[in-house]
Amino acid sequence: MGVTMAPAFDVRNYSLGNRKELIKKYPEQAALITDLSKEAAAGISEDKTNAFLNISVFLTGFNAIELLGTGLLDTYYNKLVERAMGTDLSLFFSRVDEVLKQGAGNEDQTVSLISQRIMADPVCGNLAKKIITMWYLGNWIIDADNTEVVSGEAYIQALVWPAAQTHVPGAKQPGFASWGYSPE
Amino acid sequence: MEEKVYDVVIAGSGISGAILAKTLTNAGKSVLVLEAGLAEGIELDGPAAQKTYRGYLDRYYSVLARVPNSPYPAIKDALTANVLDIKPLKPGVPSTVGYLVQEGPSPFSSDCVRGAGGTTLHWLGTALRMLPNDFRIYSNYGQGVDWPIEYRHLEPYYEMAENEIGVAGEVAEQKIPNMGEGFFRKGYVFPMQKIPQSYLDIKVKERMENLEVQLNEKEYTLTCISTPQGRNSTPNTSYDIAGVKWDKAAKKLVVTKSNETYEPVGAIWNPHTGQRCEGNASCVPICPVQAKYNALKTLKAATRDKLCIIPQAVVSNLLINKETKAIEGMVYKVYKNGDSSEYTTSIAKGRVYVLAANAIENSKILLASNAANSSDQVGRNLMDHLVLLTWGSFPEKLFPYRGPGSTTNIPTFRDGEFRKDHAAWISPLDNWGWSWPTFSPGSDVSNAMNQNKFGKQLRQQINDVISRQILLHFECEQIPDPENRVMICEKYKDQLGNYLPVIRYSVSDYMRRSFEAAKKVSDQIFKACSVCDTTSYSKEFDPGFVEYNGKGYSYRGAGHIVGTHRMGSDKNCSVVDTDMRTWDHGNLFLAGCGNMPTLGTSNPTLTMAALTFKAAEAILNQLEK
Repeated sequence: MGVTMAPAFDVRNYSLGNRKELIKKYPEQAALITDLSKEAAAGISEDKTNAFLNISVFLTGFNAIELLGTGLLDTYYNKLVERAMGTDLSLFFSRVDEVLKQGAGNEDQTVSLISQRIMADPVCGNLAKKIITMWYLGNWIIDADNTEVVSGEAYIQALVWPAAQTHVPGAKQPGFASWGYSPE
Repeated sequence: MEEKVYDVVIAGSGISGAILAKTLTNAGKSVLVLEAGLAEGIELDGPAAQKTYRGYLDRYYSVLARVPNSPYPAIKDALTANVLDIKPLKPGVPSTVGYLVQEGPSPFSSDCVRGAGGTTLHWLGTALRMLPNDFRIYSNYGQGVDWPIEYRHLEPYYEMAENEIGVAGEVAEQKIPNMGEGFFRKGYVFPMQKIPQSYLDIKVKERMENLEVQLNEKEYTLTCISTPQGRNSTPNTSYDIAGVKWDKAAKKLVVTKSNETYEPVGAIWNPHTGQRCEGNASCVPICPVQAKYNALKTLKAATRDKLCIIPQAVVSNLLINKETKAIEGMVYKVYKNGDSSEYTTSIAKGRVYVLAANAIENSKILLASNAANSSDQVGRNLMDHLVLLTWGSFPEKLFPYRGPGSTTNIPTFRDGEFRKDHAAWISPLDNWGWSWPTFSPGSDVSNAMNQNKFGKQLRQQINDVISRQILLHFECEQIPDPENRVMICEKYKDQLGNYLPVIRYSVSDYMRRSFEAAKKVSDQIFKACSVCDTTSYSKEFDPGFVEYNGKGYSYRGAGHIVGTHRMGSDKNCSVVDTDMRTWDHGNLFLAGCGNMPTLGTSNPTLTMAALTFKAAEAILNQLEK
């Protein structure tokens, strides 16, 4: 980046979500932090939502209609952009673009490329798992010790339940006596 | 300051306070209920009630750890036990993490709701009667104590409780060891037909109905029966009880008969909602449609112009007349907004006083007042069901996480000679997979993430793992031990200046032998069902980890808080008489599970509700003398 960094501020701590806190904490680094934020923002533009949907299909094993049916595509995309590190996001989405292009509609090939180039990569794999966790549980993993519920609606739309051929506890109730029958 | 002298002043609006409020006001008495929970909680009608309940539901959806108290507001001025506060205890170091100050050596592992409706807001709804031998385990097995009454004395009150709660079940299927003839009155049926048993129950039953298991050189035959529960189902057309009425002339509570078909009681905000269980599968901690019974339904059915409820009112102590020992007032603190530590103090006055605030709160109030304790039994004999869980993968799909938490149980070990050696237990079949011990399905997703699974492979694995989850419970009857107790201490108070409960608690060898026995039975069940057993108990992470005969077991609390002001025939070793009146104070009654001298293998709510009707009858007789 061609900028000298003061030892106290570590760019790995940077994320779009906490830019204002960082400037408060390291006022002398305000200019650098603002530059980083511009760089990160430049990597994330409007049309990444489509890429997010496409990669989510491959990551979750649910098709686009099922994902769109949750009503949470924008919520999850915004959560990702707000919480993930800017540089990680840029890398992730450029990797996603590569893989989807190379896979060129061949499912097996795309799956194989995702496995090698996204899941196996420390940065991209980490983000991929956070994305899967959002779709499956409605939770955002902050770090190893901290998780937050994205929203009450995200809980209700969690895909782990339909994956298990059931429904979320407390909502989408299937009706009296339904539990006496196999869902198959 | 309240100047009015009510007929009855009651601390608490859980099921026992609610049954008293309804029964007494319906008999024409004036009743004041003091409820520690928030004002929004006592809304009983229309949009206001729905708004409060919707708030509980939204909180449940948005919180990370969906434990039993998770939908309900945490009130700093009226704290309560929460399972999230239960930690492994260090010897000699009391844990002050949560509301309960835990001295140990073992953690008391149950929680309860402090708020209007009490713990019935989050209970599962299982409504089982105690067995005849449960009332005499000292005479029969040399363990614990005998009750001063027998099953047959309580039987008519059980019918009242089943009517009030609205129990769905099948009498003909209740075949339980040593229940004896006449356990149910001839021709008796429950108000509603049984809750349909789950697909999981059917599949498990296929492999283990009539399975012979060996335990300590004896053979037992396992059976599976449907579980009666307080949850709306199809009305039973042969059920003919309308309700409970005070018969002044006969000086008794009587059931009134009806030719009309029983009508399930729906949600308090709309009677048409919750007419049947809809399969939300979230009973613990909350039924979104109130198809499950909660005590707000009983409060709503009181004679409302005879009932006054003061919310945000925490009872701190009783005033006692020095000469007569009569209770002269119930001191309560009304807090401003739940976390203000700003409060006003008032004294409630009645002809009769009742503590119905749960077994822990009742003890606290009595100890703080130096009341009702000439026997030195107040706070002692704290009991719970100690739950041993075992779990594994079933050879075919069971599709758990559907329907109420449990619709079937194995009654085989609810009674028998083995109670001389180890505790009896009931084994509910659990419909909600491994969620309790392993935090499934969140843990299943994170396991898959650790394996780098994604896409269709991930979805397939999630489906395969979750759809075959089976969980067995062994709810073991804890025997009373006077050293298991609730105490108070000047050192531990809350921000209103009320005492925090200090708990001393241990797990005896008698209980550990039942864990050992239960695991042996579980092993045989799993073997017969070809279940891949994945049970594990962790010394490091499980607060309830104990050892016996070189093996480790983890117990969990069932949420059954019992025994702390027990009933007896001798005032030197009990707190209340068979009318639930304290021996020491002629105008003070105690209600709730604290009255129970032993626990049996049934969830205590139905029994405590039956006892409450009995207490209501005694109170009415006393008022009309």
